[in-house]
Amino acid sequence: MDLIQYLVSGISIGSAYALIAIGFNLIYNATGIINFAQGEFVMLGGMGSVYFYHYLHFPLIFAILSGILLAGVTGILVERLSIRPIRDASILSLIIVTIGDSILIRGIAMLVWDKNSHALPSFSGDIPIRFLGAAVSPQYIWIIVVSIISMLLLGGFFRYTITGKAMLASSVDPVAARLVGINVERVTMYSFFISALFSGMAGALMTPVTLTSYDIGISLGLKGFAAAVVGGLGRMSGALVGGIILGIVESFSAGLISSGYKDAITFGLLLLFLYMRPQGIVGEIKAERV
Amino acid sequence: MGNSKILGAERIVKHFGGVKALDDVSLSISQEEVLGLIGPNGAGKTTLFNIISGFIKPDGGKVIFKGVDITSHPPHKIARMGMSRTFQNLRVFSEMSVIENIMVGADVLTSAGFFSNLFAFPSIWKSERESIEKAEYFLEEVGLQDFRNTPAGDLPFGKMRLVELARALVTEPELLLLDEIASGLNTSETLDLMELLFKVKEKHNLTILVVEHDMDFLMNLAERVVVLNFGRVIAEGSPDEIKKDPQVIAAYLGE
Amino acid sequence: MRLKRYADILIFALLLIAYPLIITDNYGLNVGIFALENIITVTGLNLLMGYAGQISLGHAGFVGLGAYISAILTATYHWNCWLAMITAFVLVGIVAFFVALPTLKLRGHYLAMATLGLGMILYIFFSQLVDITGGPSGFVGIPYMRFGSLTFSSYSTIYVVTAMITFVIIWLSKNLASFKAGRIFRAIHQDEEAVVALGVNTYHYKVLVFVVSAVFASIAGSLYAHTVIFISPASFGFKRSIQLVTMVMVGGMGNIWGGVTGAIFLTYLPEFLRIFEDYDIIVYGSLLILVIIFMPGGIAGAVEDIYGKFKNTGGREDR
Repeated sequence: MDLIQYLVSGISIGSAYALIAIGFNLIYNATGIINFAQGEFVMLGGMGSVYFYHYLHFPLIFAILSGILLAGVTGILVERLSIRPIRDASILSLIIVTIGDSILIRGIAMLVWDKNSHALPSFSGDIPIRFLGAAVSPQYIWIIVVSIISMLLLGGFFRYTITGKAMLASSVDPVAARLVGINVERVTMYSFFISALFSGMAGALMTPVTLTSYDIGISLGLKGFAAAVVGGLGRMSGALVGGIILGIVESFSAGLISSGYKDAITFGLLLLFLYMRPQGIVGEIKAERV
Repeated sequence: MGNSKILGAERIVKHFGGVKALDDVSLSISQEEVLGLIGPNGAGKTTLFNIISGFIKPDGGKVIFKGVDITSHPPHKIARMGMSRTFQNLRVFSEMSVIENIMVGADVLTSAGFFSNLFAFPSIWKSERESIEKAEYFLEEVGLQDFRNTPAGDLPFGKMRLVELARALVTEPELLLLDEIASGLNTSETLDLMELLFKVKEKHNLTILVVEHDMDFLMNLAERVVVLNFGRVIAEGSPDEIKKDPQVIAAYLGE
Repeated sequence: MRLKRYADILIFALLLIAYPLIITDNYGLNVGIFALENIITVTGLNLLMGYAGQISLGHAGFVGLGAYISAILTATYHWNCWLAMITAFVLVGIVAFFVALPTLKLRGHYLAMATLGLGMILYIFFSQLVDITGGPSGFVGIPYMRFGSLTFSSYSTIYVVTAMITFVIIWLSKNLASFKAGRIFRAIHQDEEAVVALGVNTYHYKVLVFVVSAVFASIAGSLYAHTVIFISPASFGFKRSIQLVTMVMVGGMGNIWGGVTGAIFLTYLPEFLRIFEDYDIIVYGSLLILVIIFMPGGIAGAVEDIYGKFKNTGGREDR
């Protein structure tokens, strides 16, 4: 029974990690950058929702949408103010600038809000759902359902809209995309925006079960990155696989081994993949490893 | 020792995804020979270069250097055996001075280890002197003595090529691989470079494998030419023979 | 030639001696000690990051490892502090070596993420191994350093010990930076493949510089533990790693004195800006972004540019 519970919560948290991983992939595909500030978008989605709900007394659904939008707008600001000025800089500079963004956002969140942990109410109450003999919190189901719907929407966006097609095209071949008249700069901006929206959504969805605070970004960012790597960096479908594997590993190690070490185990899994299989579970070797 | 074989590439095959970049390519170079490698864009010249110098591993075939099968050797080990290369796109250490660029090459052959470096033991001072002397020797040889302390990135393009050449020579190679070293040079620079290459070849008994786009340059420099097209060897012979070869003419006109 | 080469390090020695003669109050000495400890770690990180171009976002983990090993050996097992410090850096060196073997095969973003993960894992161990580290609430009762019957408990004595060790570290780093290894590091930073083509096993150099920088961090950690005699995981987390990176960036990558300047500048800055306290990460974040965009060479690079405008000769090779 416990096992079912671990499985459901693992899949659930894992699908939130998949949303963060998609955020990493969107920016990576558009620019070749791994954004170290990705986790801060997750934090903003969560803390933003809390702020709009508890302090500005928005209705829950609007508070959450506003929180996610806050993350999205921050994504655009990050791209405009810190990435665009140094587009052609070395990888080291790009890494460091996104780290700068990360701790700056974190610092501002602490300054504007506070250092405490915050919760949001579950979207549909806290009465557990009985499922195969296990008691499952309904929020877990919400996370899974909303994540999957938004991934389907993203897939549709890439397939059926002009902007989505342009984004896809310029991730495959930016030079050719420019030649056929795609505005690559705008595509980059959209990528940051959508990427931040998805990560912000992950933050808002998880807050009712995991709580949120100004400093959760770095560790959630690292987990989202781990999910992206496990699934194969840059692959949208890989993100879901990677996220769910990571979520399940984390949930079982918290349940069966120790909750104190669960993060160490997930980060260890990331290292294992980086060392042994940097191309992810499926996929060919590419990028940054000789 | 004129005719003994120094390098042999045997039946090299290399795919990139579905594309066959090299298909059963063989070539060999004799000691102190200058072999030219030509072919239209995308013929697989640079891929072959990268395979010979160990930067890319072939899917099939092997590379023999000085009688040793080096196919699976890491590139730094191959370089240590006496094979040095330049790159098609300039690869100078642009933020280091010219002399430092060349010294990095010289450092490879000095004996001082990491700990003598860390604790500044006498042996590192000795190595340092050796590196400087050697680097200065090759600095003069390529005619860059006036630019000794200039950051390499601030040099004009043609001079950067010379830095790369000096850096390759200072490692005391027996086989020198030149990947389009004349590209981007003007006519007088090209002539000077050719003269320089003849000079250093005689002086250091070098064997040279040269890939080049500039036909005049290559035909004057090379004693023998191999032509690649679509990953296959389509002709081989003296420059004069190659110039008349109908297949070669077709390959270039059909480009 | 040798004398000229060591002129800067002699000036540094004089400054180390002058500081406690000018600033004699405990507060000033205390900040001075922290600055020196930062100089030690930042210099190692600068060799790794500024010279060899290999980023580490988890270096605070090695500082912590040094600090905890020293603390445990001296407080729990009553070892001699010097023996403990040496054991700590040997152990950290071994750990760093085995960590470096797979890690330094990674490049760019992957390397950055891997080191970030390593730092986080170490932090989790510091917090979770409550029985031996005291957990999140910290490790109390670390003894002061001692030599024979002398106990270094006053700030002035701790300063003297720390300054001597700092001097040795700077001397070693200067050696590494000045000769063969330093050239190869800088060349790797600019174009690793070109260095490989010359016959250098660049991987070997990258692993070595990683181990050296981890050992320096460990020494700084041991000294820190014996200075404040109380340590907790919070001092060795992500934030600390980023502070160290910021010191290197602000001071100037690839320049020993740049790193030293950055360490000093960012140790004193919060002391001057009291409002800083909790919000220091805002300052660090802004500094990182601004330096990358407007002053990629850091303070050292800016000074070099100004100097270069006055005196337009080379002279870069001797730095």
